Amino acid sequence: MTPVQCTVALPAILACLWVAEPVGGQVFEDGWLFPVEWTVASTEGVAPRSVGSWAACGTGRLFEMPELKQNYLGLKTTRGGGFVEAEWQILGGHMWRERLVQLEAGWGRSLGVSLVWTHRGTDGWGGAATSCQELAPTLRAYLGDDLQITIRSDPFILTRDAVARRRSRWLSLHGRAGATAWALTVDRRRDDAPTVRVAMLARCAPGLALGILGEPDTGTLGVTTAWARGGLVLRTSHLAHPALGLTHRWMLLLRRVAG
Amino acid sequence: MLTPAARATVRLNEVMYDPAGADGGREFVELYNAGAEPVCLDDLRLQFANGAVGDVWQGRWTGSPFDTLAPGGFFLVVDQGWQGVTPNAVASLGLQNGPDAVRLSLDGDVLDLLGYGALATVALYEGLPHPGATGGGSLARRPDGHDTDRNDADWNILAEPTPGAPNYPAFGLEITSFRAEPASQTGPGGVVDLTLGFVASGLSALPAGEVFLVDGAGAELAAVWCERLAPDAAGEADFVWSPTRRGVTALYLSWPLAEPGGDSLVVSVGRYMSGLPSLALTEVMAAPSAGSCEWIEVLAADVAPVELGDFALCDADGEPRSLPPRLLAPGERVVLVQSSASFATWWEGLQGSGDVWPCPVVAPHHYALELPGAWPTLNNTPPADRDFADRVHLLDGAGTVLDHATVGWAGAEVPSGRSLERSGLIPAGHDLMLWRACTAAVGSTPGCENALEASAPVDRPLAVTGGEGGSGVLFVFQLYAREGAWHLEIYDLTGRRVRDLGGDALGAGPRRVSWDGLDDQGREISPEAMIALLTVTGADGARLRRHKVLIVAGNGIGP
Repeated sequence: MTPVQCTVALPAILACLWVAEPVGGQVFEDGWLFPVEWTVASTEGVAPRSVGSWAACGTGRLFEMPELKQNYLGLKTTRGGGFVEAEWQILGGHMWRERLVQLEAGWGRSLGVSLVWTHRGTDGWGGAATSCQELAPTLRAYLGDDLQITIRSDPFILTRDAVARRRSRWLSLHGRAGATAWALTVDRRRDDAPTVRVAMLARCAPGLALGILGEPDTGTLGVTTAWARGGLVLRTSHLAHPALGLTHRWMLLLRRVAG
Repeated sequence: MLTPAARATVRLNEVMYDPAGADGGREFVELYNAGAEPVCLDDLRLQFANGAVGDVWQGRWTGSPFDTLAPGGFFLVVDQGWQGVTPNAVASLGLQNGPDAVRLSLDGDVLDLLGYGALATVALYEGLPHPGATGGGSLARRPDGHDTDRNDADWNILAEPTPGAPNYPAFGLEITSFRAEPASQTGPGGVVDLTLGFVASGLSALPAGEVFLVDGAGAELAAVWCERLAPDAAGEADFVWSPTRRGVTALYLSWPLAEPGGDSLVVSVGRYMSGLPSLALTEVMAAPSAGSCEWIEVLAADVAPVELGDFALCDADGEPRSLPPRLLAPGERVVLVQSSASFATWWEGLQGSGDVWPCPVVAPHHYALELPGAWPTLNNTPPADRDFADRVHLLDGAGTVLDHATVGWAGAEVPSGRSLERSGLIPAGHDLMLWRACTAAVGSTPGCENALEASAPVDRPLAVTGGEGGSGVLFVFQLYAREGAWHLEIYDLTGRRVRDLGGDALGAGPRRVSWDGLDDQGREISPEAMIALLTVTGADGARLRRHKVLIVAGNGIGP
């Protein structure tokens, strides 16, 4: 990171100490810590902001438990400096489910703003279904093509039942140096203590990247992979928890390739 | 006015003087016209006499010119406040419960008289008095209007009174015995030998013909030939039936009254269980060693919690005893003991005996329950009329035998001090295949897995249910032989441990661990899914098995 980049990044980190990203634990992206754009960029050797529109589907299973299946659908379309992204995730099974729907619309190139609408709900086990709707402004800053800082402010609560929040994000940084990309997130645990997660993704060959991911707080460690061919990208995540076992996730992504 | 002929045809036909509960509004007297002509009841008097007073009659009702009684018809006089079928007359009956008498009189002539109870005054009965009705039944003639001037012979006790209607149907069948062998089955496919005893309780004979055993939907299960059954005659029918579906089947006897396709008399005979009940018998100690006591082990065999108080136990010859109330988690075992003190003394003695003990080292008060009321003492020697010594029946609230264990088959008796164990929860044919003598060195395995059961697989190694008092979470699990210690932890879905529930290194035995829904810092957890992780290690500390269960904490729980 250059001195200029540090000058920008440090105030951003401090700012994030009092804002929180309203994300529940175990969203699908937790398997990689990298947004789709960064995975594609690292695998294909292009700039993250040049990835453009994409559609993706994914599936996974937490801790080898059949009751904790996870499915994902995502879509992002870009035009000029604006974008719209939609995500749908479901975690659990017929006995208990947690649903997450997220819509984000934003604009901006080096410095972008967006508005994120999130609906999260649970049902099952005969208890009353609970749901929560939030609206949160988000700020993204790109320093060249090599560093992205994402800050999402405290959300405006639209409606809320007692929906659990296991983890809220304080900060997410994504950067790259040469063929290696890195990610760092600082989350706020349920007891308000910070918890750090880190990931790296290195391009080993054209269209192939391998990475690692670590979470010191829980002792989770794992590997990630990404294969890109034409506009098709397959990325996988395999995380090992020392007590609960393995969590596997797979995502298949189709993106528009210019020309 | 009554004609002379009519005087002889109007009779008392049914008298209810001591109904169940309060008498007021429930007493009735039914009159019957046994003649061929209609009768006007003008000035007919219904009178009552207190047996303690003697031949002193009190008027209760007097007929009017508008009261008539058709041939073969009924005339119902009821007490004030009556809420049953529509009566013909309402009066203040005030009949006492005996020894007393009622009569019909006209112009000083007694048309009919019924005396009940131990009456000393001859004027209060015909022939001999009837001993009296009990249990809320009425006194009734059989058939309607039948009169030989002997109260003790003409009147019968009718358990289900029939005010304003014939006392006895033309065709009736009373089931007097229901014997199934085996008494229950753990799964369909086996053959059941069902023996029914019955008495023809109607006024007409039941015709000879093929008689059917049917289920609640009318489907034929088995058939036998029965000879003509005269009124009051007893009979027996043996059905051989093979249940084809799991669960309790309601059984009925269908006796055709006419040609095939015509009407049939259908009566309920009982219920039969084919399948594994939610609560199963797993071990029986019928011949305890000196100083110990009899006990019976049951297992919550369903995937849902089971309320022990919904069940009852009885032996082959005894009355059912309700089990004490206790909510059992799936997979949990309890031992019903004849005497808690004797059982505890025996158990403590074994702890110091040096024998290899495959069962809990935790105290028996965790799983031993004393059966309220008298213990169904089990025979150990077969009586002359059967091939086994005794049988433990597990019953539901309707008296259906859900499960059974046969003790002391002739030639296969279990030695003293050794229990009878169930070898598994799957169908295994005859009782002798399913139940065998315990092979444990100490003779029995109360409160834990049977010595005959396979040590693996275990269907629900970590069972979860609501906590005591409806709050929190209760975990129930079992440590088996060779397993030394356990540790239970609660994780959230991010993989972070929120509560350490601890463990122990006490070895094999059942465990019940409560979680109050708080994290390690004592804070309440908002409603969300959590993972309970049970780790079991051997005596050397090596991990033997791990089990994960998804639960919802903070707002009730789910398994």
